[in-house]
Amino acid sequence: MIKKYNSYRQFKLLSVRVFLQSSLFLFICMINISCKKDVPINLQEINTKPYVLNIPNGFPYPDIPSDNPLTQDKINLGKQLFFDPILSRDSTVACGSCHQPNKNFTDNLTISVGINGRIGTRNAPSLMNIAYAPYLFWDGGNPTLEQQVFGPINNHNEMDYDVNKIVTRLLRHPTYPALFQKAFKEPPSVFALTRAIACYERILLSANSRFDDYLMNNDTNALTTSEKKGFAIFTGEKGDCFHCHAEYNFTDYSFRNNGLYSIYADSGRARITQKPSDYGKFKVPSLRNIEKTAPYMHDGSLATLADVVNHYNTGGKPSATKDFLIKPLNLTIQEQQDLVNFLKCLTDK
Amino acid sequence: MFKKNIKSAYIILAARAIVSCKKSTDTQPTPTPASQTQDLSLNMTSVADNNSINYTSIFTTDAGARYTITGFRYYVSNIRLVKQDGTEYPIANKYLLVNPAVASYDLGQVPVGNYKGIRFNVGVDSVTNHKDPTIYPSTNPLAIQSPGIHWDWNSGYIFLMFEGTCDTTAGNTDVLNMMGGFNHDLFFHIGMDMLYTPVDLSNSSFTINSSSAATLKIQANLNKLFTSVNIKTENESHTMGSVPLATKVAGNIPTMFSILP
Repeated sequence: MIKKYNSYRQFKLLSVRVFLQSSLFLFICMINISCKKDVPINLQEINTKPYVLNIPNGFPYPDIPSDNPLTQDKINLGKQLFFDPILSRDSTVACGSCHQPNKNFTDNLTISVGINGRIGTRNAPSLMNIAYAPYLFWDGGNPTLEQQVFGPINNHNEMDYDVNKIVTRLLRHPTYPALFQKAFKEPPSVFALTRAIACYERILLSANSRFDDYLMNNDTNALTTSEKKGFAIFTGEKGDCFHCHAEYNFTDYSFRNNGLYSIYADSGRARITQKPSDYGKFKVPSLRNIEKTAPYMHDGSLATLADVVNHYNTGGKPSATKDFLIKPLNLTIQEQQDLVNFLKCLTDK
Repeated sequence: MFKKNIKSAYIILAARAIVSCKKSTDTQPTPTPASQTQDLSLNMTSVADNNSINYTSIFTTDAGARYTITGFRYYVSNIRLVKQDGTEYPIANKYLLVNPAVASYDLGQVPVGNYKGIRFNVGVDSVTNHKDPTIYPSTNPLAIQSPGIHWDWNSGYIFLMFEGTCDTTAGNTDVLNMMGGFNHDLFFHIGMDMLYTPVDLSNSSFTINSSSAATLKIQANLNKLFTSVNIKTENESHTMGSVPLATKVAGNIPTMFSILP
């Protein structure tokens, strides 16, 4: 049972797919660059010091947009911007306010808080291994890390500002213009700002848990008996968690209604697609470092991992779009505890 | 093996790129001699029936409901001049972000002659709609604007953005507040690919002659946007979440426009 997943066999297929996708993307970009006379932004010579990602064992190489190769200078700049409240209207909220590194890039709040104490509508998602996400936000409404930058900046309940005004601030700043010049060979711009932050977010890779020791490094003593039992439930028919929390990052990036409610205050994916069949569906989150990212669900409504396991054990609340995989699991108290213990061994050392 | 693959892929890519470039130059129309073309501008004005619009007055819909305006902008693209024989002269890659504060929009050089009219779309085509808006220089209408006219939470442009306030009282008795608005927000953010709206003004002939730069006057009547929309109750749409209302409003867009003599 356990041996089946020994090498994340799926990765091989996935990395080929990623290669093909990135080749196609490059191809399209090359045509664009070679034919278009008015290439809007000078893309050449901005990768001063190429940065090589430290890919965790068993992970594919993520898809990096051809107009935003990773460089150390861009990453440094992106990191500084990420933790700088200069991005918010009153300079009080930074990206890092809700995505805190010591909390696996979440804030441990039910719903995140923006400027003037304004309360948003959703739980801050983790940014770890976000380089692999095929879309952003709980409902998948944004396609790239670069464009995602606008989301929290524009949102009334988050930073409530305007990216063009941020650029004006950065142009007047004593140190930022030189940092942009170094990283992009141009002054601060919307293009460069979004690229820098995305570069920093792409290097946030992690797979350094006891579970990785157990699975990838063949350290059979890395997990306790209870954790191993929990893993068996996770991957087996009984729990069937692995169905959605699949592969190296413990998500298949699908949208599903997990039966949290019968009637949702937030329609989820349906807000984007307008399809009734997407009502109440949210992206399947990664489970890596899940111990550190309480509370859980898109609205932070479940406080602990025990609550989460209990929710799935009950089979959730009925609705037309509830995923057919969500059904009563009939786990014993001990089995639920084993599952919680397993989830905690996904925490990085 | 992988390396070899990449190498050959690059060769193919480079070859394809050259081919595609050549093709695109081949298919470009033969340039018309300079004397045969003339500069054309659109003069875009906005009214509410007989009144010019502004951000301080009170306006009244054809159904008698009162409203104020705080913002009104829309994208115009896919512009085509309709020739006498019914064929179209496309003005390629031209995107206008029309704002009541700006009247004149240059379309560049077009062939002189008699035209039956003009066609365009309000909004941007689906390919452009889903491109990354950060790739444009700040002077390009498709770049991120302030205030914004691009959705980040469901990526795409807002094709037409109307913002204001409305009086939702039964007897039109509300008075303007300190901010100069009525008791209720009135906004329509119309977007999404399905609401990319064609406008056909092909029955208003005009002539472009070689002697002087041409201007085509197009008027948008905002009150037409509210035809059969009861703004006392139907007053908010981000498109997503209220598609039926957005579709109804977008359906009124073609009736807003007319060519002025």
